[in-house]
Amino acid sequence: MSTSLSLVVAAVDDTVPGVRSVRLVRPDGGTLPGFTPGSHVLVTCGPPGTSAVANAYSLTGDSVAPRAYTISVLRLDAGRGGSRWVHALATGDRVEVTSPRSAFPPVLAARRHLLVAGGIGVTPILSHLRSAVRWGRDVEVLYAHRPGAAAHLEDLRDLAGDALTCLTDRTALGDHLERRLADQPVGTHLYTCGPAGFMDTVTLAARRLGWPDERIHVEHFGVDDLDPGESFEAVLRASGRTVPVPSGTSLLDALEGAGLSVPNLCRQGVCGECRVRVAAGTPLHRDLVLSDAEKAAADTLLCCVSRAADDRLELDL
Amino acid sequence: MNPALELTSVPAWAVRPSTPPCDPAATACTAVAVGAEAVDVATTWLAGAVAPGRLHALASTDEALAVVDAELAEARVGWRLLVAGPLTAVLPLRARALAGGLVDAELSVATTTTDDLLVTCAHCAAVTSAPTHVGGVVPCVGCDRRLLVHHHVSRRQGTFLGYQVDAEQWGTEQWGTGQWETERWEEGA
Amino acid sequence: MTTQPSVDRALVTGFPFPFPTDRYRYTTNVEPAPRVVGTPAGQWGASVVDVDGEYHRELVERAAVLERDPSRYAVLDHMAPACWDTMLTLMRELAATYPDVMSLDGDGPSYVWTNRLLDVEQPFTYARPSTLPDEPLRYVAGQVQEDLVLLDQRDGDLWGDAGLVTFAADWSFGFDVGMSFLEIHGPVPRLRETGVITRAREFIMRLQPGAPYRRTNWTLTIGRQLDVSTERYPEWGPDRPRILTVDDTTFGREVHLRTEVQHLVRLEESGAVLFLIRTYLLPFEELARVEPWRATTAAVLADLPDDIADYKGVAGYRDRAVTWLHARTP
Repeated sequence: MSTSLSLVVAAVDDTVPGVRSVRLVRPDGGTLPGFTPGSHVLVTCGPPGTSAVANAYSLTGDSVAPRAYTISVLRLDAGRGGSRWVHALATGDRVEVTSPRSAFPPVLAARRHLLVAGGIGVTPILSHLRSAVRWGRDVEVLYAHRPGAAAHLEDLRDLAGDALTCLTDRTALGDHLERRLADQPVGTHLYTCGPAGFMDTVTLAARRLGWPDERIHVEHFGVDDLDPGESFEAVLRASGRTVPVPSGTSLLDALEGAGLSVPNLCRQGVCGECRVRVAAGTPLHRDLVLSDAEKAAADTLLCCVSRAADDRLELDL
Repeated sequence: MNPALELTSVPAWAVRPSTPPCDPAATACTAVAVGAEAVDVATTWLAGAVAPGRLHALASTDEALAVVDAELAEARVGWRLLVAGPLTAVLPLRARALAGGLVDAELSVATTTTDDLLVTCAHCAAVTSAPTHVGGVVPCVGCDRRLLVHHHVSRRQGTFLGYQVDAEQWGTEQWGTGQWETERWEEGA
Repeated sequence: MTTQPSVDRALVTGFPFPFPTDRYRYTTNVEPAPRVVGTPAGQWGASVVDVDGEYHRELVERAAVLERDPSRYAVLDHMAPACWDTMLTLMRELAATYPDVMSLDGDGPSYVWTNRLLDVEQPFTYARPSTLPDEPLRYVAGQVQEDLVLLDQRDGDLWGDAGLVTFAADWSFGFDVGMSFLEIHGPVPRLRETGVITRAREFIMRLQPGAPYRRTNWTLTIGRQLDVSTERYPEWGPDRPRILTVDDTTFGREVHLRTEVQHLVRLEESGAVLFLIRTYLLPFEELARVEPWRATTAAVLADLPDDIADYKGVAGYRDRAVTWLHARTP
């Protein structure tokens, strides 16, 4: 779904222990697509062209007509290897990223923005703060971090001034959070990003203090991206042919690749054009078109997004 | 043909009187009641609140608007507001509360009567207050056109949309608008 | 029948004929844009913004409508960033589509917008209102033929919180400002019952920047009138009964197939959705000269369910329209 961008590492910054900031630019130095504050890119953590893990990293820089995308990555030695790969990058290296995707935007209609960051979760909060300053929004920032390990602390201080509170002690954090959540003008929206346990603490406190869900925003990386799915085989009843559908390839793409023509429009599971009849096997529905009853009937599926629940699906094609 | 109203911008409480419950998650509540009947509804709403509440009983919409403004200026997130009264009062009060930054979840609306509506004329923008209903016809106080009350409510203006009922009647100009019987338009064709 | 074309040929060759088949129902008929569509008369769809031979005339008309009725333009306070975003996005789109006559120079925050069609050279600084002669949304609406509606996305819904609409087909933008997407579409029969409008909303909420989509909509309009808004209904409403009394030649000249090409664009910085509505009008006498269009239009109108015909305001004269089109079978 996303366009791929081939970028070059322009600079790396290892000032904060364990965190590396990487500045990525276009090889020709041109302007990159702008993005909504809070957006992330998927970074292919390996040499271009290889099947490496893709990690989501928030963009921390300016969001209008950016000359660079900057990401800050915490090194996780027990992770899948993506952060270790970023920490080994050098100036001039090529990096493949998707175009930015927005899943944690500021609410334009908010009267005030309360930004609560935990550790490396400061990255999308920083881009929120930049846009708040650009547009003169009323903003308050709480930043919880371990003593001495605060990524982007100078950036936050420059942008937020007195509106920034840093907390390094768990008890102090709980007390301060409680006090600040209880005293926000009506119309304030809350945004939080950090470790899952940290975000749970923040959202639970907010709910207990009567914050409606509409005002609570939590960063979930890439929730609107469909996962690549398991591979399966599609058997075409008319011809008896078997079309393999690898993980990461849609059934529609596989059918088209096999020379079949299936009517389609949106390729996103919305328009309903690519509905095909299922003769045998169980569909794994991932569309927005079929009703619950139609999905339960299991006799059709939208082949642009839906797949097989098992390893085989027979189609009336 | 009118669609089912739940498929439109017309809230259920704009069609028949309502008594919503108070959100138990609230940490503070205010009820703004216009008219004596609304005070009963507001009292019931506040009795269901877990948090401390305040009741403002007011005689007119203008007074109530001023109270809503003052409350909004002081309120903290966690607060819930009830506006109660005749439909002609609660629609503008809801509009003011939403403009002040409340989301639907923070706002309860109770109607004590829905007999009168506020209708914005699509053609001259005047607002007519009159006893009518969705599908009814009212003369516009601004341009005197006979307006069909559309099943379309503006949350920002707090009014129904009205448009000329007989613009497609051949010879309207010669005959004048008074010739047409209200009844034939009341429930739509 | 007259042999002289009544409209510029380009309006026929570029007309976006809206019916893929002989049967019309509401569907979530969205597709990626831009994409060129060939028609029996020519083609359309090559760009998100479309400048044609009506450019100057329509911009003059837009200015006149706004002058007469300022409520056609509205921006709720929080939409200012989305308006700047819209202006920049449309200028980039215009410059990329019409590089011979339009350009956007600079890479931010300072730019120069040049539009030779209007003899404009406008320097400005992004997000700095004092650097523009008008508010950004109204300024850019003076550079494009499209009507503009901005949808804010919040609370799991879409809100029509800003826009400039001078060429509405029987709706009132000024009244609808601030409504949710479903509320705006409340008056349209069948939409929510069939799930079409809730699916459209889900789709729009998932739009990503850089991947615009489009759909078409249609109705019939009597006379070459772009502004058939609800506001002006007392002026154009009487045309509907009157058209039944005119002779066949006049009928073919006055009744127009009206296509709206609607583009949906996710704006990069504000995250709002820009909804562009471009209106094309083709008189029946021209439509009938393109045989597949004549036949399909006749079939669609004959088959149209009463409630949809009623909502589109064509119930009173669609039989006459069908008869008129059938009479022109070659």
